[in-house]
Amino acid sequence: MNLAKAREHFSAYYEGSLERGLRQTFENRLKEDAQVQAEYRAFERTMQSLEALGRVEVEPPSDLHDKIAARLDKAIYDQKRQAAPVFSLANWWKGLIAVGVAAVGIAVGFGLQARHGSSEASVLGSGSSAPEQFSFAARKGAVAVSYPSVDHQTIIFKDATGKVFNSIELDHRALTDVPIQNQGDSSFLVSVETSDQSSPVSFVAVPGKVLNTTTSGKGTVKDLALAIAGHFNKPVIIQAKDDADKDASWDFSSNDVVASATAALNPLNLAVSEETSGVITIQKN
Amino acid sequence: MGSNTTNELSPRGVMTQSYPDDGVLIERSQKGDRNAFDDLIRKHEKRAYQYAFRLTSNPEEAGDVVADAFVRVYSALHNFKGQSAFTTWLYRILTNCFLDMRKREKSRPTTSLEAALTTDDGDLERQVQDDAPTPHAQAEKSERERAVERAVAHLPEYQQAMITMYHVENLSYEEIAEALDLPIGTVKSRLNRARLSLREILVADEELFKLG
Repeated sequence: MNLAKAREHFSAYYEGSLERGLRQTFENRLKEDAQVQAEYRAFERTMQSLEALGRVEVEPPSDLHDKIAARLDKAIYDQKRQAAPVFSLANWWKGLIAVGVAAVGIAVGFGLQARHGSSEASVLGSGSSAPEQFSFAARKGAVAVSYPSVDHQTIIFKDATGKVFNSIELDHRALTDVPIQNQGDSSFLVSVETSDQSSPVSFVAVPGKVLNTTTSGKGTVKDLALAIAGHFNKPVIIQAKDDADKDASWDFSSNDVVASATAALNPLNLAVSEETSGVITIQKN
Repeated sequence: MGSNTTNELSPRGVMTQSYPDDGVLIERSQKGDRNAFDDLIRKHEKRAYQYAFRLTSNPEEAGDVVADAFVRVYSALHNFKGQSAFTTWLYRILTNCFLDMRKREKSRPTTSLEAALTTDDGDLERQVQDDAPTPHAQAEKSERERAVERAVAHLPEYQQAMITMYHVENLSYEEIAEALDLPIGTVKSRLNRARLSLREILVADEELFKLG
């Protein structure tokens, strides 16, 4: 057994796992060779030092869990963004598909309807005291949005990051039943607003193609809307912009969409209702 | 899988908060239950941090390694079939995150510490983070332990991970073999080589060594 071979057996000999024949040979070498002896003694001291390692526990920083949670939230968010979409829009008003894009997540179809007669236009215009509101209805695999005003302004569609992905210039036409269709697997959040900000912003969670079986979770009201859309396959409209980023936690195990959403949003003074149009609406009490 | 709760035993034998079995938490997490995944993190984050800190010797980097590892766990959880213990799988991911971090660092261009930072308000002196252990932590360790830690830090990253798993985290050869996806014989021979390298470093540091 030469020196290099002897070194190969240092650990096994130290741990007593060297088989009998090899042990005998190793011990003979150890006895006869001063260099092997010196090296093995140093090895023993190294092993003893290693055994003392880790006696002192290191206290993790107090914000470790938050750091992990934040990194995870970001990763999930990025994942959703990647899964969702470049956008295309279908201008059904003209019967055209515009904005050529390969991967399609959300498609917004245009439905503009010209109003006839100036008197109706002025009644529905910005001269009225209460701001006009968007209205929504569930359509097969889509949410239809309507806006009654015929003022010369633009309706803007943004994704969850606030990035504008589509806009429709009204040009004296009311917006009627414009379909927002999610062609991705997961539910997707869209905000709808007017360019002059005369009407309240609405958030729309549009169900994806795949049902989410998750029955509980926590996050913001927007996350809850996405969870409802994904779990119950129903579009969810948030008509309370200022509360949309507040925290909520939910449990869908009762399988009752209104009851479970109400339980989650009651502490925030938000009400939940299921409209005859098939959408779930979240608004202030 | 049962629904029992277990007391998590930390590497040094301290009992910590009760959580359901890993199997239960994983099953729930795989169904999309974020609360269950949160519990899984809480259950293992401390131990994960201990390991990451031993590898990096830097609290910030250790936190990054742990955070990255749990993101990877989350992404790959649907592939986890339970053939090995969750902790073993976690060690593998932590080790990979640590190795990836070091790889990224090596490929990153470096800046001279003496170089001043220039802003609109003029030149700023560069603030260098002091990663040395606190005086308190220092006092708890003997000179020999510090010498060994320094020596471990000089080993190649892969050997560092093995030494830490075996000698600090008390993982068996079998567990290390599973975590690193290596045959046990390879683990044993590589660990022997790592110990021999350590011995050489420590012998070169003989003066300090003798103080122990």
